[in-house]
Amino acid sequence: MTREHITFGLLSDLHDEVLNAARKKSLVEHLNGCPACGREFEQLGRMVKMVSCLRLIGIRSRDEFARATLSRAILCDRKRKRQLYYKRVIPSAVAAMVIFLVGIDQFKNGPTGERRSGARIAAGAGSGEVSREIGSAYDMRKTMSILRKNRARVTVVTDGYIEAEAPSRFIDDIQRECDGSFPTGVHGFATAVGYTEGGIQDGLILSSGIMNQRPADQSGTVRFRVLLR
Amino acid sequence: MSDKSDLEVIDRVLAGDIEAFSAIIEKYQDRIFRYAYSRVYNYDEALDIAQEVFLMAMEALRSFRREAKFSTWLFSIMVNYCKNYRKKRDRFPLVALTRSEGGEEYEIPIPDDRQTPEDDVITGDTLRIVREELYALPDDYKEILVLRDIEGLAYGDIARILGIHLSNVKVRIHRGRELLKKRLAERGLL
Ligand SMILES: [Zn+2]
Repeated sequence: MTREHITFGLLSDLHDEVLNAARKKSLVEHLNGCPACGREFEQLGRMVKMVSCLRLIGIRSRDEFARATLSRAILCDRKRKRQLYYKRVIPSAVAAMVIFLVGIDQFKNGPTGERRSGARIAAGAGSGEVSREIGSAYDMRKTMSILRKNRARVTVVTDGYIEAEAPSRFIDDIQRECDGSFPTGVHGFATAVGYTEGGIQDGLILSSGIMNQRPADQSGTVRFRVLLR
Repeated sequence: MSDKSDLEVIDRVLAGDIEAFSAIIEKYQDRIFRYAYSRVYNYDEALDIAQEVFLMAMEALRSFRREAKFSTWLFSIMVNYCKNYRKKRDRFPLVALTRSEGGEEYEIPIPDDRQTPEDDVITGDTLRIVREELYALPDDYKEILVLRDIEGLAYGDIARILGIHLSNVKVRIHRGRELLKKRLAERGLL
């Protein structure tokens, strides 16, 4: 028997049987020979037993509670499914709307972006058309009205430029009108390869230097870009 | 119902059979109610909490990873819900006012067959005192004694439910029991 009394913690562990066999054996030996520790251990057991009787606390109308809780659970589940449905449907509806609006925009202004415009221009250039770059001294609105007046068909509009095509005979007029007092020449731009099956490949490569200002074919169409300055 | 049958019920619920959840409610309703009641000491409030815990569990059912027992997972929700509930309620003292009134109304049902000759006679008065003193313990001790001595949970499960280390479980049980024993002795029960 160990001489020192058993701590309350060890008595508690012994009660719950969370000690190894050797420890348990030595404590039990002490308890058998020590009335003080024995009494303490007995009281602990009695207390735990009393506390465990509080298990009698429970719901008075269990069936009613279970029914009510299940009804709420079913309602919550329906709500969750509805929300899930809207979560799935609304983004697709919004996406559809965006595609629709972009479609309208492209229908009006042509597709935007360097890569796509480059590809388009390459195709144009490939069919014998002349590409041009024109500087405009005016704002977007005024430049657009100049283009409209000169029978230009606008294909791309960005913050920085407008792409359009017009009968070659109008090009010089467009340039003159757009230039205003702006003393620049016409800058050409070459383009790299456009579409493949997998999508757009290379984009526009702007070339520096002055291009031939005179359209090669008076009856043809010139694709050009008006830079807004 | 073993944990295996809990999992079967959960599978059915996740497959869309929400009514199957009633088996879970029926099995655990008293245990969750008891824990909630020990925290708020008001019958109606404890019922509301128990219901919310089941609804939360159902909502979160897909996140149950099956690494621990379902009961452990459910009781973790219960413990956390009660903790947050207390925090929220402490910010609104009006609700706390009704708590002390409601606490006295609920009598613990004592079936006659408990008072067998070889048992210590545990009367309704004794249980009322035990309940009073247990519920008056600091929260850390009270919750752990409810889980251990009323619900009979294993130390490991308690550690998982409360998110504390096993050694802390032991220490809290020691200290909680020691304090409760002292107080029950003062009330003449030991
Ligand atoms: Zn001793």
